[in-house]
Amino acid sequence: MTARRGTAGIFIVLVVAAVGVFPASREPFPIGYSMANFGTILQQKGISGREPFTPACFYADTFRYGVSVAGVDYDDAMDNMESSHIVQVGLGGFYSTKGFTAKLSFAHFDALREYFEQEGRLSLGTSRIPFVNPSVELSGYRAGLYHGTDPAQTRIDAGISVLVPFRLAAVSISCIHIPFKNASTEGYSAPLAVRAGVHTTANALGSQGILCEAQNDGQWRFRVSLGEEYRLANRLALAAAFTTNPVMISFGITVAWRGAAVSAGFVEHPVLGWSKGLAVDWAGR
Amino acid sequence: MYRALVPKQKLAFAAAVVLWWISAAAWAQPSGYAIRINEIFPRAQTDCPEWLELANCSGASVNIKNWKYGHLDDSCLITASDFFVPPNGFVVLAKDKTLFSAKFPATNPVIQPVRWRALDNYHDTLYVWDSSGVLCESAGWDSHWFPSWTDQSLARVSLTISGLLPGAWVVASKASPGQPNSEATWRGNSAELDIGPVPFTPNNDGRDDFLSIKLTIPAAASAVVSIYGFDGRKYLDLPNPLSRQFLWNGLAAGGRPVPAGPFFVVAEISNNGNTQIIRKKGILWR
Repeated sequence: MTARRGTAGIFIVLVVAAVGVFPASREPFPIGYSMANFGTILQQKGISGREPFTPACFYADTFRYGVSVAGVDYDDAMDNMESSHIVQVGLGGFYSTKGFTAKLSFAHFDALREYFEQEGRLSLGTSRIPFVNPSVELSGYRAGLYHGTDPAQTRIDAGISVLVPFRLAAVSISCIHIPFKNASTEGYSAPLAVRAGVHTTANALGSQGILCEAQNDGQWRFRVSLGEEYRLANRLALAAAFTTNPVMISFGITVAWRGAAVSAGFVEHPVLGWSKGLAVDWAGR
Repeated sequence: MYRALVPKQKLAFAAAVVLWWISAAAWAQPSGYAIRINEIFPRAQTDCPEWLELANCSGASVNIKNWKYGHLDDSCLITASDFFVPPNGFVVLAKDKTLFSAKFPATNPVIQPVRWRALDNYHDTLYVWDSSGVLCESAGWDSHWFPSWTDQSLARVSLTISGLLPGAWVVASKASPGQPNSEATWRGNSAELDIGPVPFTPNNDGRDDFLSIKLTIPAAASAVVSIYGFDGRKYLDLPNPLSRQFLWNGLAAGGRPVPAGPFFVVAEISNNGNTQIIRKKGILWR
């Protein structure tokens, strides 16, 4: 009972910390456990379902709450400002009861200690409706310069997601970055994106997924991602994925034990180099 | 003027390299060291004759009266009159002065030698002798050195190495007879890429509205410079051939403003079959 109260307290602290802050956009790939598979591996009773960075409708497990922390160091060090990195740190949690799930996350993006973006995201979803699990998302963004005199730019986006689970696979459809409140200056909006994917449940070959995305930032851009995750002894998972536009490859490893998991992901861009990510997830009942 | 490539020419070309070293002693003479072949236009067109440009690299005027240019077995008198090339100045030798001046009316001075020694379109060696008959300059070219060479002039980009070596020449982005070669100003011994300011703010407020991209590459190298967004997609390739400095206004190809945040400037430099990539990161804020 005491432990449950303590965990709930942590979740409340996360909620309070995230209220009034806003998100990061234009990520080349998702952060957290999903980094190594470009979001293609999706299971309602798995780490991807629990992640606070994914829509709430992706979750339908028996854990009642959980927290996650993730970080990414983007691209190679390059040939100027070698000691200044482009990094993002995200944290968040979920709470689920009686088929309803709430996810809350906060991400801070830092580029060269000059520029920042912050993102806060709330997602509410349910698995109580037969055949279809829907969720709605509300995201707030804030971007600015650390040393500039210009005011930070803010915007609010909405999103809707649907997961249709079948016995062997699930179909996901999401529409994100639906403008709710635009920034006062052009150049701060994330492009409207529609995603559709097919994600297998665990099988003899692991889990597979394909994710198609269309983005509109003045012109339509299409992207296809393919991913595979192979599990060893239900404790260790190896993942690899490929995506187009731009072409990138990724691989990663996840070590899981009961409700806890540690994931490391690596993404390679042919020109910009390697991005390195680490995520820790924990869930309790 | 097209001429057949014969073994004799190849032999002469190899001999010229040796001669260049042998003649190094002659370069100690002020006039011999001063006059260099600086630009060559061997691929004549209907509206532009063959021409070559001589540069005076010294701090004193050089009289080129009775100087000769041409091949080892076929030299031509440049001028029989006094003609002083000013310090750091140029003189253009043209096959047809009238036709040349119609193409480049602002270029001066121009000399039309009494007899023109034709320049080979693909492979040739030129020499310059002073009035005493001392060999003081040599230059050579081979079309295999320049895969992209069509009908442009060849510009000298390095005066520190022999004009017989491929590293001394590049295909000029724009012919500049009578003027310094623009390519020479951004050629160095090593490749460098500088960008700034970071962050830059293309919001038309008159301050930091452009990103300056400065490139220096070795003499014989070619480069492609591109700008990538944080999402890994390419925004645009900078115009090629490059000038020394490019100012970017924050627009992607097609004129679309790129989003705020980090971006990357990537230079891919090719030199003698080797490729070097320089990547610089910046911040755009509107």
